[in-house]
Amino acid sequence: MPHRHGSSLVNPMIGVYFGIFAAFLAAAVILLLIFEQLGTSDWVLRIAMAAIPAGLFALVGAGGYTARPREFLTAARRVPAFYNGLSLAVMATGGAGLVGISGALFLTGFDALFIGLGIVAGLTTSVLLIAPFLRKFGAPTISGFLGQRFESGPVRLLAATIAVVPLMLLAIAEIKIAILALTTLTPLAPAAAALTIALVLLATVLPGGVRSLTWSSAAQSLAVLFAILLPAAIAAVMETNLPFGQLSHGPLIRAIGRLETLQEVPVPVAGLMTFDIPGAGLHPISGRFGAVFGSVGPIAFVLATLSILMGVAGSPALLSRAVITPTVFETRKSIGWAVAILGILLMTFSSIAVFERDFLMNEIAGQTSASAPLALRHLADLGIAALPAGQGKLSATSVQFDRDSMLVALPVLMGMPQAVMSLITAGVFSAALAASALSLTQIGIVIGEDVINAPQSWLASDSNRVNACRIAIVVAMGLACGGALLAGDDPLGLLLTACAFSGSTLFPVLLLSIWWKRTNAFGALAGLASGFAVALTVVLMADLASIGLPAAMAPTVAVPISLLVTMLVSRATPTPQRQMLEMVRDLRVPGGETIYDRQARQSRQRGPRG
Amino acid sequence: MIERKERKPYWRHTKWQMLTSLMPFLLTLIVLPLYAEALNSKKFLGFPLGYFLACHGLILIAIITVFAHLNRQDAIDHWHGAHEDL
Repeated sequence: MPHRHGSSLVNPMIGVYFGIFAAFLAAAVILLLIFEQLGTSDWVLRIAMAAIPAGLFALVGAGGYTARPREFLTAARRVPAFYNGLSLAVMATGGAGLVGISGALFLTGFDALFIGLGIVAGLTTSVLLIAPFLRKFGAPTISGFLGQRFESGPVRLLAATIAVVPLMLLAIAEIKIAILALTTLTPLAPAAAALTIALVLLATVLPGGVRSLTWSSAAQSLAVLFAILLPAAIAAVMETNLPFGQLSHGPLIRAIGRLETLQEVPVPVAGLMTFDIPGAGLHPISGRFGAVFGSVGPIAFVLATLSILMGVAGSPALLSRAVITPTVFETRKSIGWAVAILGILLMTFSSIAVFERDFLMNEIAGQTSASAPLALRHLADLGIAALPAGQGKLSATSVQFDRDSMLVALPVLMGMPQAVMSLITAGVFSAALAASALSLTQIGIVIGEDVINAPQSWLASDSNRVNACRIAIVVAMGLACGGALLAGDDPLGLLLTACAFSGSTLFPVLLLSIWWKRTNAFGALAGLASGFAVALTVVLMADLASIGLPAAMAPTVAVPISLLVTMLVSRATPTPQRQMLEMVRDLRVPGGETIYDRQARQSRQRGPRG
Repeated sequence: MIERKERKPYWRHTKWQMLTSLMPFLLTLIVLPLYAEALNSKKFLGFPLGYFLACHGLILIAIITVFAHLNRQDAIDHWHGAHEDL
């Protein structure tokens, strides 16, 4: 009988479980819509919209309890491609990406496409260059992979230290978005919201580590798709008479263009390296939707896309998902699913931005602040829009909009029930929970496996390994929640900076460690250090506005330098030993035993002194 | 399990497969947005063509690239006996 890839390892009931979850979610939303029409208090509905999904996620996470390191660190490599791809797509954008990309598209139009394109291209590059080889190796962390690949403790420690930086930035960005969503849905103060989020996150990842994370994030991803695609389809029917707004919003762009010309919306022309993406907070729209390179220059657009590409392809959070599938083939397939699902989400964001722009151009012409449309005044009451003071006429550029709230503004502008707005907010909350849980779990595993129990963590007792990771997750959670409450930074900016660090430091060394077997530990150390130094310099100097290169584009300078330094230092130092070269040849071939599992088995057989 | 003498030809095929997948994708990703403005004067399905290609076209190309690579690399794995058996 022909072999089906990995099917024998996968629980055949998973589809049934998630089918039940999806049905329950849909039923809860329909019930809340019914209760809204029956006059139930808005706050009760909002709290239910936050509490029901959060309770379900915590239940799924707690159900994944395990004390076995193999399950805690890699979910026993039993995750089917589709579920891994689904989670990967949502985790790649996270809550910060969902609200940031859709808001930036609304405010700047075409110029904001580089963010989504960079993420899609990063996943594509990852499946071609890195992820399948990491699956064959099987180490649960990037630092663990580099440490074992180069048989070097210093490489493992430096890679672990460096990996924590983007992971913590991502966790802070996502928890900030989760706090924003939860304070919108409930009357909680930010500090109380942070505490609630920490408790939900602990329930979703602490019992079973990656195992709990995997199944809770699959549930969260289903909730995100439901919360984004359903309102977008309703809006598409209202605007274009078709439910697939992703493919039918084209004629609206032309109609918006005509209105923009009539209302004299400016057409700014950016310099080649201009990079003026709106930050968090209120901003007017910067120019016409279809106008190209008004806020981001053409060279900056390409360089920013490539920077995000390298950041995503070298992301320690996303690459950790490569090792949890049953086979190398399933890893490739899971990233294919992720690219497809993410593509649909990105096209949906574009269509939402167009629908909102269409409303803006049609409804505010000839109005004043006093006679502004009801929906716009509602947005102003919610703090999502700011109308100009006085009795002057409204124009497309005189009203300001909150970038991170434009996704949840869709139902208000389209006149949908309040419960739909709560549904989208709950979707953003779920995405932020999934992405922050991924980052925090990875920080915990990096600290537990590559710092506390290093170098041969498999020789430690099961309880020591799992508990070390759990303690590190709790500490990281505390730091990330504190950082989210104190840091005033823009979540999308933090996401781009995290990409800048992972792209500058880990991507070049990972690339060479697989594709150039001459790379040795000295080269890897030099490459990691030089990439980090350049990235840090660019990020700090960009903040001080001393150089013309934005922080998000650090990899365009750091990656060539890191590649060059790694190659030169590897050439100038001794050739890797035969055993290491053999390991590289082995990791390039999908078949055979997972290298990490084999090394762990052999090491246990030899004992601590072996 | 792959035979030892098959490793070199397997890796050569894998490298070529990677290059033929990655290079066209990267080239399109870099070049296409630069010509978006000029392409916007044409229409496709009601969309300005430059916008359509950047927003929908590049995503479609990424999906095709990944699944074509998946298919071809799996064929290479089987051809050289490098595929997985569970």
